[in-house]
Amino acid sequence: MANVASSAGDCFSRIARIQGFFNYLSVYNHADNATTFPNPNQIEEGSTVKVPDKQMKAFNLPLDAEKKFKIIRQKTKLRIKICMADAAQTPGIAKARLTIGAKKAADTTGTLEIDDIDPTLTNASLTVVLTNPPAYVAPPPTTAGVANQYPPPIVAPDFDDPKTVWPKEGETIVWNLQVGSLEPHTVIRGVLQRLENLGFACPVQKVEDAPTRRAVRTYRRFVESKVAPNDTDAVADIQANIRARHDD
Amino acid sequence: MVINRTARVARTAHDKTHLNHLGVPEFGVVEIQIKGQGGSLSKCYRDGSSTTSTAPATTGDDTFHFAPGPQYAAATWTADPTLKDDVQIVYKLHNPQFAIKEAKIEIFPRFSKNSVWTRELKDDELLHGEHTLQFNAQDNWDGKIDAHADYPDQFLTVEHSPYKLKLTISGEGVNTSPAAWTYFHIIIAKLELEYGPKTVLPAQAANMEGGIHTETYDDLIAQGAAPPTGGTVKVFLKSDIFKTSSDDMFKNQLFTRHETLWGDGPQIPLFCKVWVKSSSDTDVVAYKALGRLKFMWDWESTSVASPTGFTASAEKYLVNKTKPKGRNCHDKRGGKRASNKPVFPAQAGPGAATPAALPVGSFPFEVVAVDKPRKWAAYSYAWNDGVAASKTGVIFQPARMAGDEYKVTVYVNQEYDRKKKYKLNVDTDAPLPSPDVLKAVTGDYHIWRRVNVRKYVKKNNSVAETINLATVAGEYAKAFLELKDLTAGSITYVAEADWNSRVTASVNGRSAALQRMVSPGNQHAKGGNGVYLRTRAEYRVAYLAEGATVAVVDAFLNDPSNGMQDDDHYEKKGKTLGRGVVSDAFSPEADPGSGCTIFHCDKLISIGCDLLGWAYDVPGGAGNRCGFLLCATNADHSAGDNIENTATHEFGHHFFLPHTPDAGEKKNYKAHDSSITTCIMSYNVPTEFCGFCQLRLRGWSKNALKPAPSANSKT
Repeated sequence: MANVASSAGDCFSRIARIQGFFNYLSVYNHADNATTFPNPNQIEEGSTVKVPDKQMKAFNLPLDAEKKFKIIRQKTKLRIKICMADAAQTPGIAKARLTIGAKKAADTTGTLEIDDIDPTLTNASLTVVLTNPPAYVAPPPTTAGVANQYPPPIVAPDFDDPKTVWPKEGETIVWNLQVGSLEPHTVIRGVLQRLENLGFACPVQKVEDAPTRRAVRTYRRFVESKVAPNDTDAVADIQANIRARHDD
Repeated sequence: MVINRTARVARTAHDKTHLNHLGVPEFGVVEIQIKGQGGSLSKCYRDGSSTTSTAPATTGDDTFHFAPGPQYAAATWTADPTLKDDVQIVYKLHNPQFAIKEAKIEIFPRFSKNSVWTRELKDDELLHGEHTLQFNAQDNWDGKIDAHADYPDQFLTVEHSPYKLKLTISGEGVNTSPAAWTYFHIIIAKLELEYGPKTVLPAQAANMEGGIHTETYDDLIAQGAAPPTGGTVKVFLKSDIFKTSSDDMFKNQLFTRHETLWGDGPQIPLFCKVWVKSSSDTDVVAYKALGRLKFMWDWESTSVASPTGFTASAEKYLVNKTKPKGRNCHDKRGGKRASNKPVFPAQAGPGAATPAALPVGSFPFEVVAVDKPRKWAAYSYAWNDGVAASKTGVIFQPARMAGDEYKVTVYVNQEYDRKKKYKLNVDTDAPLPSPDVLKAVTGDYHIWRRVNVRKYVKKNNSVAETINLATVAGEYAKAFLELKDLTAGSITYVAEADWNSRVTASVNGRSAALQRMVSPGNQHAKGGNGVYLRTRAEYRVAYLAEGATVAVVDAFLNDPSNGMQDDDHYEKKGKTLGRGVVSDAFSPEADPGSGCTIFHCDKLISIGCDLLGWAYDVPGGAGNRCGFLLCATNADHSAGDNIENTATHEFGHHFFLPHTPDAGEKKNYKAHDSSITTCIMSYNVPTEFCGFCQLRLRGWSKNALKPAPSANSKT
């Protein structure tokens, strides 16, 4: 049995394939692995994975006879759900394309899935073109005045501040996907990675600091509607919640 | 625009269901409002196409206002740190992923692309949800902004109100609501007029009256501590100016002397207290919140047509053509209607720094003329600190012309258009269209001349009749000239010894022939006549008693060169003598103060005389003291005439009015209404002063008037 130190992009599917297994369970089901890694899709970078020795299989085969051996290779998928800040909401999508290796998937419903990816690939890309925003609509008129009113009625055109630059086209968002790099939600980086994936402006790092706390605070204000003064704003506070929001 | 993001995703093993949610960053401004004291709230606006998961508040009002900066306590007009009208800037962000990169709150005045205040939002100020903008770790904002040339006190001001408070955001993601804004005002609550202290009046050049402006001021204060808000108050122009010789009546001296005395008119310090409306709708003294707000002082000519045809006609001169229109004395007659002489003269003001106390002898507020078209009005500016903070004012200087009537209005001249043209700077008739809170209006200031009647002297208590001064004053009141009776009903009787000694001294200084005309004995005790004279027959007897022969005496009396050849000539001689002696006897009684003294005896001389009165010139009068002699009883007058008419007539002479041509010394002198013959200055039974006289008494220039009434009108 070998110990493999995981690196960025590793998961049990990838490690298994690299080690010559076609079913990640062959590795993951090792007693040590199953208890150490609750989720085979997510491994904290630098973890040690136990890779079992390959088992020799013996078959009694007649000579001079052609025999076929069928290797059962379990597929590995890549599943993406495009959402708004409210994960239940899907943005208007004009075009979306997921690419990993030579495989592509296109869809406008917000869910993209490639169900048989090469598990050793660690890079993919996702390009989403959002639908055009609604046409610009001027603000409502200010309150009409009456003769000799004081204070005088507001005349909006009297103000020369810069006018709104309203977009005419939908935004294009290009995600560089680091496949397999999502770490478990139980670690700081795993939480921060999920925040980033969900659209947060948030550093991905191993330590917590003011920006991570601000991201957590934002998450809690929006998702949990919590603005408790005694919040610690620690990533631990949102671990469970964000896992469900991101992973399910 | 392309947004590049990185995502760390997990593969999904064949027997798992893991999904990677990738969120599109989104953000937007939900709302921004200002909260005032007492629950007032400004109204929030966004573009109609803006959307956020939370809709903006629909409460609030476009009339939101507050009073920036420190305040004075109204009772003491000094700073009270406990008084303030702080507000809160509240805003709500839709920033669920903390994707806003830049956000700023700015304040824009009208017609400006540039903000006058900017606050970049940072860190926790960008969190999703509601915020109250912090100022020095406090929720409250007092309207203070950054240093700015248009806001030297660094507070928002009424001058540039209204304002737009705008929150603008940007970031990486979908900006569904790039901006929200609200409007607010700094507004005036009310204006209150008051009189400034007289010490702020410019020092006067020395003149023979001295202190006349302050006397006018004192008279005004006596009529009310504050400027009238309705009705009429009289502006009395002390005007003790009298002829010093008969020739003076045939010049335009009444006009020129009044001009010399009063120049461009009396000076009345009008102050205006300015109150700002707080967010809870109370009136406060927010003295830093006015800025260089322009206060426009405007006047109207409110005098109405006189009942007399001549004056009405003259007053009508271009009545509807001038700006402002009206019946006040026109510039061409010496007045200020249509004149370039300002009713609110320019003042330098305090300069860069307001002094700790009001200056003495110089006006505290800056005043400048309004440019075209309302160039007769003036702008003033308020102090932003010190004893006169939140106050402004002008010197109100109406024309010196009696009968003129002025109404003064101070407007807050705040509204202007994109070209900086002020809404109120138009040449239309007052009142200008302005909300009531933005103006303060006085009642009518009616200009009057005033002449003091200081003393009423009778020779002795044998003089039974007494002039009804109220009747006389009533006649002059028609010309807006007040004869102010300072006698308080008191009559001075000349002491017997004084009278007799003065008569003796006067008589002794004359020729023996004249001395002989005077009856011997106690002149004072003889009765109420001025001088008791011998008759011509008694004169002859007395002359003979001196030892002269009959031939000598008769030759003397019959010699025309001696003026005694008959009783008529003798009386005329006595009249001349009487004038001299009686004036000598009365003159020392003249009041030393400026004004008139009335001398009264029954007749000038005891031997019969047709002289009713005499406007003689008091020795040493210097033009500001006069005395006239009434030397007739009512019985001496024609039917319908009386001693009051005579008194009015004699006063008239002192006031530079000559006789009418039919009675006058200079029959071609054009100084009377040619359409009537019963002017008081005539020898006919009078009715009233003719219009020509009335206008002259009011201060109009004789040289600009013509005797024919219609010749003075022009429309």
